[in-house]
Amino acid sequence: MSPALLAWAALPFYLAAIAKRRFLYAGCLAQAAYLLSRGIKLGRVPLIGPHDTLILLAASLAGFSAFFNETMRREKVFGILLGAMAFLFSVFAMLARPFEGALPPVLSTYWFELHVGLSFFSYALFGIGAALGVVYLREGDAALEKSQYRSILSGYLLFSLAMIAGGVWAYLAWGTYWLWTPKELWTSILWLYYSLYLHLRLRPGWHGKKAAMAGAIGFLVVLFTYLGVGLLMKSSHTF
Amino acid sequence: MEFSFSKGRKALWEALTSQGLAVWLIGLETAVLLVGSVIMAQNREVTGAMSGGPPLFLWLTSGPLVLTWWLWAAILVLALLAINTICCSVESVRRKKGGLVTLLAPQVIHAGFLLILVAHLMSTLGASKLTGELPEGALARLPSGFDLFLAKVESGTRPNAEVELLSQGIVLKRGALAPNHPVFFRGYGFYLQDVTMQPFPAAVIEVSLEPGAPWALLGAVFFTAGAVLLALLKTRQE
Repeated sequence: MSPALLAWAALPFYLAAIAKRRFLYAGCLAQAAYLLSRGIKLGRVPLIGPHDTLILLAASLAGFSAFFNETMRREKVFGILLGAMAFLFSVFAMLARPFEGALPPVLSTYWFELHVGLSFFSYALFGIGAALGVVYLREGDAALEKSQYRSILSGYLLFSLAMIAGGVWAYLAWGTYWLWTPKELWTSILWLYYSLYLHLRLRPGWHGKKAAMAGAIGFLVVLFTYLGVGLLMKSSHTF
Repeated sequence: MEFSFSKGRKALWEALTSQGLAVWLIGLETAVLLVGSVIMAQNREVTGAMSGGPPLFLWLTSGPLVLTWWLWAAILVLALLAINTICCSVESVRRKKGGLVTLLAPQVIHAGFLLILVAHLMSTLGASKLTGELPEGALARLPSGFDLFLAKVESGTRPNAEVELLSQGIVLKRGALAPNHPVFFRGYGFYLQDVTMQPFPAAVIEVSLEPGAPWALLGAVFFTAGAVLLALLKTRQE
């Protein structure tokens, strides 16, 4: 079977997940198998360009949803939202041309792979947090907002680790752990935004609707940091 | 131990230890960086000036204020945030609320954050870069007082260069440069930027001084340790 078929197969799985949540895992497995086969073919971890990274994002969204299986069982809308998000990211991934070329020497390091991998795992957790926030705003079940907090806190930890890995990589590649470019600045903005969310939630009156909304808005900052900055602002992250 | 404050000092202390202040400052910093990213995107020379050769502080003091004001503002807000962070940590430890891990985890995160700020401050004041092309077999005198000799250059899928660092003709260190594999010597990092074989074998080598790097790494270790502890605690509590 052609590896590309695995990537395409994830699309109907994610659509089906809107009706039955277990298909999310089928989509995740299909995309994981696709990335694995691409990795074997290319001889490297496939993490360059929107094709690979959007597939990783969709697969991570579906994969991490396993930690919120109980919530998905109770709240059908949550599963629908995750299925729709994973489907959408997968469609965009399939529209983007896969990068088949040799790895530029500067990207040939575990620090780069760790940096990108952790970034997209954290984006997925922020995405799950946003979906939980939206469902909470609709249903008003306090457990949903607590789940959102857990998801965002885990995402924040992974995102911080991704920034550290990026700093180590930048230091070994360019002699500085910090490059002043719009992408790095937006990375800081994203990190600060979620720091703000975590501090706000400690404030009286900031549990519930306000926190859920702030957590959901955070994913828009994620999307702009990932896609918007690349499209609108030139950066060292354009290889 | 009970502290005795006059009313004004008590009010100031309460303001400085307030979580509300932290929230406002983080929000303000986010907004300033957002504006900075727009200025940066509209003025490409800003990125070059900020990540270029001389220390960032030189550009800050000599660059046009219309392009630098946001970074001054960001530094000011970060300075206030640093004070707020220290005060909050002191107050939390003084109050001893909760168990030992609950008490210490946020303070370890705060310490990591502060160390990273110190690192950025040190780099802003003292980081510098020097880039130049060196032919194979040539010697370059560096401002730091020692010499860099390019012994051998190889191109191909994995370009690399062999270098020697000398002082008064005595070899102090030998090393191989490759992308992502610098050589470090007396606080300086030597980086292979490019290799050319025509018209003669040569390498573009960058010499970088980043005084904040060890502090940033230490800060990262603290931050990670504290964040992992806090995440474990909070996910259980919530």
